[in-house]
Amino acid sequence: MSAYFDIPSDLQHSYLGLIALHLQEALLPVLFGLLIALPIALVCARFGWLYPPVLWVTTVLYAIPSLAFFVVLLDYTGDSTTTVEIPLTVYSLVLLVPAIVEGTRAVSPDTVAAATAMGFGSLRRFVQVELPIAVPAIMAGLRLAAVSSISLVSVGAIIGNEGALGNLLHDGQIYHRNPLIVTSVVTTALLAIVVDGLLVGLQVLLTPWQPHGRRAARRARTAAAVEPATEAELRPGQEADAPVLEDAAR
Amino acid sequence: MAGNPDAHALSSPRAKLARNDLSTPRRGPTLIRIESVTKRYADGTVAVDDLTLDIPDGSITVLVGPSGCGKTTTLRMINRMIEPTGGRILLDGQDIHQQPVNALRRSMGYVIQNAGLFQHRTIVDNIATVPRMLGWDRGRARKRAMELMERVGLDAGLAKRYPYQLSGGQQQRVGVARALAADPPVLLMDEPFSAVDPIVRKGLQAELLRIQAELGKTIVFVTHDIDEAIKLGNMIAVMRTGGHLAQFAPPDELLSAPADAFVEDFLGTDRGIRRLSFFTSAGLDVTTEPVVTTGADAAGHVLPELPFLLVTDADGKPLGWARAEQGEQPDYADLLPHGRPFVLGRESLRDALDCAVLSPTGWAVAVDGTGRVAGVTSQETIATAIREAHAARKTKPAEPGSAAADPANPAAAEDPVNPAEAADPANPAAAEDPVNPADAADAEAPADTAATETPADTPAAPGPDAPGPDTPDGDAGHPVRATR
Repeated sequence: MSAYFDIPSDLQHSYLGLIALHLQEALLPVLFGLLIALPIALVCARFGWLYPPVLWVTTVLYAIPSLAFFVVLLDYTGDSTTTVEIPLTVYSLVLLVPAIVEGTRAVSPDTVAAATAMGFGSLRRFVQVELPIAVPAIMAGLRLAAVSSISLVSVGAIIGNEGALGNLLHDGQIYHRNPLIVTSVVTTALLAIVVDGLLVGLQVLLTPWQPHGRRAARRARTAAAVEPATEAELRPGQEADAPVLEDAAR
Repeated sequence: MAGNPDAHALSSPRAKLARNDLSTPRRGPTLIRIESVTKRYADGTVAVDDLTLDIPDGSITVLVGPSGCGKTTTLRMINRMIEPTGGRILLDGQDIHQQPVNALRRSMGYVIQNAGLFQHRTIVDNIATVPRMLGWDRGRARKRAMELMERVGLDAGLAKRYPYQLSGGQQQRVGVARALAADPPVLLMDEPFSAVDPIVRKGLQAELLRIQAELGKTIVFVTHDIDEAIKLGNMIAVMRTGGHLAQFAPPDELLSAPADAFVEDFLGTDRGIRRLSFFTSAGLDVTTEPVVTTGADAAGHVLPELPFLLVTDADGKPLGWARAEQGEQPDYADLLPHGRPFVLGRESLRDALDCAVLSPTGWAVAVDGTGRVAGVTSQETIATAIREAHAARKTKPAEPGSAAADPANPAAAEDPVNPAEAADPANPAAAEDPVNPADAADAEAPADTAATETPADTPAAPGPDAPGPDTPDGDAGHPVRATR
C-alpha cells in the first residue's frame, strides 16, 4: 500500500492535505463564479439584449488555454493558489451564467405573469420566484462547473507546486512511480463523484417542491420528452461523467 | 303573476356587508371605467380599437370573443400589464396610469389559465403571497390563507402540499384563493377555467358563482367560450377581431337581441332555448291533481288529458308514473320512471321544459327544495309560461337609476326566435334593466336557505349553485338568474 500513499516530500503535503488543497482550489472558484454569475444573470434577465454579448465574452474567455492564463497571472499573483483559482473562476462562468439565465427564462410564462400581476417588481420577482424555480437548472450548471473544476486543478502543476493531486501525478511521472499516478487519477475521479453526489443531495434539500424518486423522475423525463427539454428537467445521474473526461483533455 | 313592486328597492344586508368589506374606499360612478382605449402595437397591429366600457360594480362582466379580438389585452390593460396607446382607464375615478403600478396590481386579484402557481411554495404560502407583500405578519397571512382554502372548497390538509401534488382543478382553486387573499375589490380572470376538463370546469364555475354571491367582487372575466360567458356573466361584452366591441349587454338580452350577424353567429344555435335559462319557474302552473300517494285510492285523480298518475311515497317524494284510465285503480307495482324532477322556483323554465321533454308522459315533475312533489305540469303549460315571460319582458317598467352602460341597440330589432321580442330594444330602459319585475314578483320566497343570502333585486332566482348577483347600489342592472 505504501507504494500508493507514500507521498514524495517535495509536495509538502500529506495525502489528505493534497485532497484538501485540491478541493479548495477546485471549489472556491465555483463559489466565486456563482457569486459573480448571479448579478450578471440578473442583468441579463432584466436586459435581454445583453445576454448574447455576455455569453460571447464568457465563451471566449473559456477558450483561452489555462496555460496562457497562468503565464499572464504569474506576474501578478506569483506561484500561489490564486493563480490557479482565477482562471477556474472565469471558466465556471461559461457554465453558470447560461444555467442561471436559461433556468430563469424557462420559468413558466404563467408563473411570471401571475407574479407580475400580483405586484412583484422585477428584482423581487427574480429573487423570490424565478431564481428559486431555476434551482434545478442552476444546480445542473453548478455540478458541471464543480466536476470540471476538480479535473482542471491538476493543470496547476505546470506552474509549480499548485496542482494538488496534479502534482502527485507529475511526481509519479518524474520519479517513475506508477502507483502514485494511479492514486492521483483515482482520487481525482472519486472527488468528482463525491462532490457531484453531495450537490445532488443539496438539490434535493433545496427543492422539496420537486417530485423526487424514481417514479417521479420517470414522469419528469416523459414530460421533458413531450415538451422542449429545459435544463430544469435534467435528472440526477445523466450528465455527471462525460464532462470529467472532456475537461481532463484540456 | 302577483306583483311585489318593492322588490327592486330592497337591499340585501349581505350585499351591503360585502360592499363594506372592500379595502378601497370608493364612491365613484363605477369602479372600473374604460374610456376610448386603444392598443396599437409598433408593427401597426391594433389589438383594441377605441373601446369604451363601464364595468358594473360588484358583478361579473365577461369579455368574450374569438381569439385575436383583444379581450385578454383589454384585461391586462386594467392592471397595466399592457399599457394602452390611447384613451385611459379609470379605477374609482382615478386614472390608473397615475398610480404606482405594483400597488395597483396588489389591489386587484388576478387568475390565469394554468393557475400560474409558484411551484416552489406550499399551497398556503402561495395563497398568502399578496398579504405577505402587503406587510402582514406570517401568522395572520397564513390564517387568512387557511380561511380562503375553505372558502374555495379546498381541504385544509392540502395546505402544506406543493402545487405538483394537486390536480388541475385544485390548482385553479388555489389560483382563485390566491387572488382573493388580500380581499381586493377587483378580480381579473383570464380564461381561468379553459385548461380543465368540462366536468371540473362546471364545478369551478358553480363555485365562482357561489363565492361571488358571498363576496360581491367586481369581476372582469375573459373567455372564448360563449356558454361560459352566458353562465357566469351579469354583463357580457362580445368583442370581434380587431378589438371592436360588438355588443355589451346582459346575457338574457344578448340571447334575445344580438346586435348583428357576428354576435348572432358567435352565440350559435338554440338561442331561444338557452334564453329560457333566464326565466324562473316560480309561478309556473303546476297541478297536484294527478298525484297520489302509493297504495291510495286514485278515484277522481286521473285527468282527462293525462292517462297517468304520479305516484309518491308516504313522504311525498316521487316514485314514478302509473298508467291509469279514468275510473280505474292504477297498478302501483308497475311504474314508469319519473325522470329528473325540477325544483320549482329555483330552476328555470329551461329546466322545466327539459324535464317535460324527457318525461315518458310528457309532463314534468316539480319538487320543492326538499324533494317533495309540488305538482306536475305539461309541455303546453310550460309553453304558456314561456309566452307570458316573453310578454312580461316587453312591458316591464323603466328602472330609475339603472346605469349599466349598455349601448342599447336599436339595430337589434330582429329576433328570429321570438319576433315579439323586437320591441324590447326600442325601450332602452328595459334594455338597461334586465331584471324582470314580473318574474321577480312571482317568486314565492323559495324554501331554499340561499334565498335569504341573495340580494333582493334577484328574488326570483336564488339557487345555491347559481346565485343571483347583487347590485347593492342599484347602479347596475342584472338579469334574473335561474339555475342553468
